[in-house]
Amino acid sequence: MKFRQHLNLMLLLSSSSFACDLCGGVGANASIGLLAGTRFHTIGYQTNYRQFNSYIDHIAHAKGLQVTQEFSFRWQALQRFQVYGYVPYVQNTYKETFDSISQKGWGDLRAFANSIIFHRQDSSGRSLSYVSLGYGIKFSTGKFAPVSSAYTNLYPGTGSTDHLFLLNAFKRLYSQLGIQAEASYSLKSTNSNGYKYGNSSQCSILLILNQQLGQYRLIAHSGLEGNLFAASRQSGVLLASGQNNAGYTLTSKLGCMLLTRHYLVATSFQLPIAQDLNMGQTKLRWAANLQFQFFIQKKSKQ
Amino acid sequence: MKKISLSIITLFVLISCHKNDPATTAIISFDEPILNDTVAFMDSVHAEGSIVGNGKMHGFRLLFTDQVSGVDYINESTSNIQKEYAFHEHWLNQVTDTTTIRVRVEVELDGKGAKSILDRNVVCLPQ
Repeated sequence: MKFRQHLNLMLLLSSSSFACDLCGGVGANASIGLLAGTRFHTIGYQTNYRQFNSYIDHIAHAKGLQVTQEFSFRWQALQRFQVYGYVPYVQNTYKETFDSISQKGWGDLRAFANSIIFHRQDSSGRSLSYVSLGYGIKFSTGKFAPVSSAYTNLYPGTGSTDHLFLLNAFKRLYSQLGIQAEASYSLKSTNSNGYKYGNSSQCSILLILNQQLGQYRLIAHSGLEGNLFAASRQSGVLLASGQNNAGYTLTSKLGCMLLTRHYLVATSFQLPIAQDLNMGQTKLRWAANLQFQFFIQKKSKQ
Repeated sequence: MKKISLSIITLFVLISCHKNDPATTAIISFDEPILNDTVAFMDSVHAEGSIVGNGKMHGFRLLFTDQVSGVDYINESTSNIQKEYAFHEHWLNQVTDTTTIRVRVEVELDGKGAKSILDRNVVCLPQ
């Protein structure tokens, strides 16, 4: 029963930690997805795919595929406080008409803490609504582009230490239907080569259907996600339009997760609705995510 | 029934003909290099632009050729059949004497030998 009560708070894992960023194959923004309030620690693995095309004079000339495999953990330190960690391994390829370029390696580690600042439950212990706030750091652990590289975004890391801020909120609308909103901001620093990716913001709003299927629980979601990227700089100087990664994306998002007592499997898919990246020279085609999480129930009483 | 069948066949033939419509001309545009460009030592000669045909083309070749020695520093081609292409290539200037590099785009229009060509010369400076 306890499991079911607290499982009701676990929504939207498939929101995941991948933004459709252009920044070195690492998530531009924080996103915990797995909501606060459970009694479980978790360890997990997820794989993210993003396909971008590059254009010259509105004609596609290259395809880029960014694949990030990520190991993650979640430590439920206190009843309303969690710590998250992500270890990404990045494999990026960029195929032009004549050449194919690839980069792979361990990416930039991310860690952040999340605290529930408001939580309202019904008499059975199920969440009616909550709000959480998070802060994290993206470390500079992955290989990043040398000054001479024309393919900065292909590298597994950015070379910068970034600050991540996260706001997450949920409200149950009906017994099986809820709405979840998430907003995050990534404050980026300059790397040792003098390159600074522009700060980025992400927000999403999703409808969530929570359905019990025998021994399993199916959580489906559908909604929108927006990303906004400020222009990148080199040695403090704004890079030229079309080369500075500035722009936005608005994507539709669809996904589901299947939960059991001990683990969950989740997948999600994103398609762009509107976008303008690098003056139209870069376009996101699609993004997909698949992940597995194992629950480790706390032994200590709560 | 016979009319419907004939209409479908006609439509299929028209679509098929349209799909295989070969190009007779192509507009080749250079975004880079610019006219009379000069490239410093250890900078890149950068070719970037597009090719738009009036039908389907049978590929193109991109060449960076030393005008004095005749050596091709870049010689790449694709035979993809498309109505439009974009090209993008870099070559690092490491010449020892002032050299003119000819950047050439050579388009195979119909696969039977008809071609469209556009050149742009770049002066590469030594150290």
